[in-house]
Amino acid sequence: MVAISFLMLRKNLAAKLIFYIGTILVLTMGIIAFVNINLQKKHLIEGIQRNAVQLSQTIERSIKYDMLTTRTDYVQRTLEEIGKQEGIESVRIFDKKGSIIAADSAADIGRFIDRQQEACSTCHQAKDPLKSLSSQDKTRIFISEKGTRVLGIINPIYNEPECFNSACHFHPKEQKVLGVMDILLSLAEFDELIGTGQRQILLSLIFSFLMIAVSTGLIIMAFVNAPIHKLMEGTQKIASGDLSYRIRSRHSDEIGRLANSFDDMSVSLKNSREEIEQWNLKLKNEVKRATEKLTQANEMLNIANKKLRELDNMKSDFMRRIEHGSRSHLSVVKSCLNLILREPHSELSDQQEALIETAERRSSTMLELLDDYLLLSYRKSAKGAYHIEPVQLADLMTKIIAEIRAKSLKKNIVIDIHIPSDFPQVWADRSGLNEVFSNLLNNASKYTEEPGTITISAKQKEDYIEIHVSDTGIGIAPEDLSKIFDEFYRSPNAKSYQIEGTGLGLAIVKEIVEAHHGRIMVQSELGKGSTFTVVLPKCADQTA
Amino acid sequence: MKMSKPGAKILVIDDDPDFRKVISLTLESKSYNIVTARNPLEAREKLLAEKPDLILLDIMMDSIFDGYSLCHEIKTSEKFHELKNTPIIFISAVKEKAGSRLAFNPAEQGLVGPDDYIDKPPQPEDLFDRIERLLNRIRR
Repeated sequence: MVAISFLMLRKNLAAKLIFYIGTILVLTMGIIAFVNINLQKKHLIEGIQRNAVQLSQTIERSIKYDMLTTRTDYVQRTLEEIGKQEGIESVRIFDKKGSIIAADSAADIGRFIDRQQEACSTCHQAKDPLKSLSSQDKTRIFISEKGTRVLGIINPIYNEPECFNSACHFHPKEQKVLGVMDILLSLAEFDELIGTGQRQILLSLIFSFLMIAVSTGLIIMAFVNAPIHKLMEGTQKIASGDLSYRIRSRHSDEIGRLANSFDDMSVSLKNSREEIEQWNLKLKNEVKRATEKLTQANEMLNIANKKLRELDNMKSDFMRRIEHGSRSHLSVVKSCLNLILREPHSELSDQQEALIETAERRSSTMLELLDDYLLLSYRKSAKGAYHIEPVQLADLMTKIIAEIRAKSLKKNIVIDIHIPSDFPQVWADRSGLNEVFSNLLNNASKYTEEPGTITISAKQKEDYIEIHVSDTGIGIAPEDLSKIFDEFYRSPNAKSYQIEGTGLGLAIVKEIVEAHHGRIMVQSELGKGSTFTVVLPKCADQTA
Repeated sequence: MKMSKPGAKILVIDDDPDFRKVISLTLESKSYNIVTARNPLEAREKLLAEKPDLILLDIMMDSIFDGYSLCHEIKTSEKFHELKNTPIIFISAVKEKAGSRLAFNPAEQGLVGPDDYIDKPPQPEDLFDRIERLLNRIRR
């Protein structure tokens, strides 16, 4: 319950205001009322006290003559009469010892009152009783023996010259206080008055609180709640998209001004939106146009692509046909020439024989060229995908050398392999590696005259492997070193020795090595020999 | 290598007459008997008529497929039942060596392939070796 109302308080401005104003009002009024009532009480009591003192003095004076003339029965009758007065509970005169010598009720005469009693405490609290009292001390309020609220007045009867000089010589001169007159006034009327007063104040308090609360509430509703609601409504309408709604407040206070500036804001929002929409349209058109252009460009690209592919296919086709045709014809040429040379041909002159040999040699080279070119194209194309696997280098080299030995007529060339037995396997494409070293070793063999030496060695470094193929052959001239890897390039030096070659071998080697992310390098000295170095990266998990 | 069977009959199938001529001369120099055919059609006739001991087949006639299907036919069909053990060597102008990735793989097509391959033009010594090896094999 509390939680719900607390929640309502948080969300409702009017409720908040009313609650807090109400609380302050109640507190303020409460304090004022409280203070007021107490002040009133105080004043009234003071008044009563003064009256009471006056009354006791009056009573004292009224019985003084009779006391002086020791007409105690008169005193008693006076007191009895006074005692009948409404509001006076009791009037008693005590002598020094504390016994009642006269009272409004005859039955009390002779009663002894203890000094220790509450009623006597004002003077008799200390060991030596007080000799005089201020007006306030003379009176005190308490509950009487009968249970009613009373105001008690103590009026000490002082020893005056008239007394100790009187005819009866009852009281000695030295005695300061002859006795005490004790009057009890009922506070019932007073209490009733106070009670009524309090009730009146309370009622007027409640009434004024309600008045203020209700009127405050209404005023707040009218000047705060209603305009704010209108404002809220307006903002919600605008938030939901209706930018033509205007709040049009009639007030010119802060809320009214807020509503007006809100209206201004909606106007500018509306304008902005319209502007944006215009821009949007423009952009859309631009985009449309750009897209059209792109589509056109794309189409043109597609057409160009298609043409390129067609051309590529035509080229491949062309190459294939040329290759096939060439090979067919060359096969016949070579076989014929071969046959002539195989069979007895004594009728041919040496020169004729040499010419036929040359023709046969050249047709062989031509066929090799076709093979090499086919290989190179294959390796360069995407179909030449490499299948990486661990390859035992020593085994590879041994096989290649065996093939070379089988085909070569040069028997006086020493081939040394220096590959340590614990040399790691090379991670590469097996057939690719085969081609690389076949080419390099065939070259070494081709370009080295007998007697000669070919050396194969391999070295392991931290991140890569180096394989060297050295020969003691004809060497390569400095100006040719960079060109020998070019397609179809044959150095003048090589040609001068009449050594056949296609010009594609090293191009194939370079293509394959670089496809393995490696490098091919060459060092050479004309007439002394050459060293080709293949550098291949180690596989990732081989790197030390 | 000593000739196992002097006068063995070899059928050469090739569409190039000059090539047929020169191969025949080359082989005759080694005392083989040569019969020739121009194309698979003629080949089929000659096969039954001549019953050769070995077949040399150029597979670049018209289409590779012709050569392979003829080979398959000779080795598996009822018609050439008598010749099913006759060794066949393909002569190819394209590197058809086993292991070459340019090669057409007959097994992939469900065809029975030849007993050997040789490049065109064949080195005479190489050709003689292979022929002898295959002829010897049959003897056993």
